[in-house]
Amino acid sequence: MKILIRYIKLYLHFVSNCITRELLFRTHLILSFCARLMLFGLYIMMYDVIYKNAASIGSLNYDQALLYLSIFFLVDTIGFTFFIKNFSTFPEYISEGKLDIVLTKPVDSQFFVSVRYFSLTSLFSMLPPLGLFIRQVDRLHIALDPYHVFLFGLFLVCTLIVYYAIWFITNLILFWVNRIDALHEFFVTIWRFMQFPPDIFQNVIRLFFLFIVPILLTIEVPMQALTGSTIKISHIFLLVGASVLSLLISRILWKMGLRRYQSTG
Amino acid sequence: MNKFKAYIKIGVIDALEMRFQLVYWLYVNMAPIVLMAYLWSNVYSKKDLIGGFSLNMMVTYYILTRLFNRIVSTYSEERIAKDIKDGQLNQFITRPISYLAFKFGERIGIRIINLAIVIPIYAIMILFLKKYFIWQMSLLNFTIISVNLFLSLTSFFLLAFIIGLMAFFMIETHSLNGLKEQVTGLMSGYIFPLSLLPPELQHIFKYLPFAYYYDFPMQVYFNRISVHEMLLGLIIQSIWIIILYIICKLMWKKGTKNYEATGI
Repeated sequence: MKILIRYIKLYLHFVSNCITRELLFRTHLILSFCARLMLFGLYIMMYDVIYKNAASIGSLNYDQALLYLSIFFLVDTIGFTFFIKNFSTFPEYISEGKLDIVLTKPVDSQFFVSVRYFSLTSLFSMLPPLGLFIRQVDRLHIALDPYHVFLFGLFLVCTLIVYYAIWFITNLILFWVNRIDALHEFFVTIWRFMQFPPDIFQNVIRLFFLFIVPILLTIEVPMQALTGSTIKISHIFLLVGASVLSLLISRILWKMGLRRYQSTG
Repeated sequence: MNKFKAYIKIGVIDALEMRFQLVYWLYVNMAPIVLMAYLWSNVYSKKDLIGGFSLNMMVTYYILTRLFNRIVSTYSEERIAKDIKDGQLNQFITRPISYLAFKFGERIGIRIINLAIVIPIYAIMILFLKKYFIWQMSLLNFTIISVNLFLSLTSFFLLAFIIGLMAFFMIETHSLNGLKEQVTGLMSGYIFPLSLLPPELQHIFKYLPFAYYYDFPMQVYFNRISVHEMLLGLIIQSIWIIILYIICKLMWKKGTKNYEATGI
């Protein structure tokens, strides 16, 4: 318990340090927010274009599709808030040898490299998807009873764990291959596949996203929990299992990577 | 002898790293196209034609726009901003070298090397998606597209140069790059063909430089516009290049007055 409190306090210091720094560049903050807002708007427009042309994506109607999109972007912005700055710093840690300083600190190294930086801009970017989410919940007349909200929250936590762990694992490639530009985009590119409902993926790619990079159910299951739709037990097992397993693998690979780390970069 | 072995080892590691970088490039380029192929296959399972586009046209559109992106896009803004902030601009101010010309030449050089990597990647991709790909190249559209791509490269570069020069006036310009990417993504037809948008928006976008990066060459490729419209498009694009060039010159003049040589 003492350790947990120590880590929470440390994390709050990290956050306050990053917020102070980001607030120095207010114009940057506003422009970054506008850029994310535009990206979000672009996808809404794309959904609009498809549905206005009397077509649909998967089995979802327009309102359900927008709810799906809002949950996708919520997870995405939460992930960006906590991890983007950290994972884009990985080349500095591993390839340039800055991990030395981290390893000498009296703190878990995986914790430090994962959460040292916090993005206030991304936190603000959560507002538009949150707004759309609330609107869609209202439009779809979703009754927010505590049971379904709890399940939604629980599965969302599993999703965020999968999101973090797989993104973290993909960055660890740097321990083995010292030089790949913009490696943090590796996961983001895979993750973007989930911005559209998963029933568009069939056969091999479906299996790939179910078992190899298990992100197929990360948005669908929380959404089903929220809307009160029937969730397959196997899907729950797969999502919860993926979160536990991917976190475990991330830890093992981090330890393996540290053994390979040569300090000088 | 031991030293020589070490050099060979370094060479092998280097080559291996490059190989991984190539595989990574292949992945980064292919993944969004595969995603779009899945998405539109699903959408077209309920409808044959959307905005005048068939499924095959749509997949071809995504493959070629991504290829055009590899040819015309330049991301010089961060380097330019860094030169300004770190004071590395001094060497260009004190020498009889045009910074703009130097950066543009450098970009063209990088693009040539990039193309050697990118073309095989796209050849593989077209083979992979050959049942969807439409080959519709004539001498006329090849010529127009080639001229258009060179103009797009120039226009894209000038836009990046303007954003890079903003470092004279702002401390942090990274967010401007993001904003530029989203504006370009929407107005250029990179995310989806502009003909899927309402006609009023299409009409406005026609007079902005962005639509000529991807949507215009694809209209030419699919022979969806007349020769007159093709030529008009190239003229509009050229006018925009002149406008962007003038803005660059004005910003450079004002910016170098503010520049403190040790970095801002």
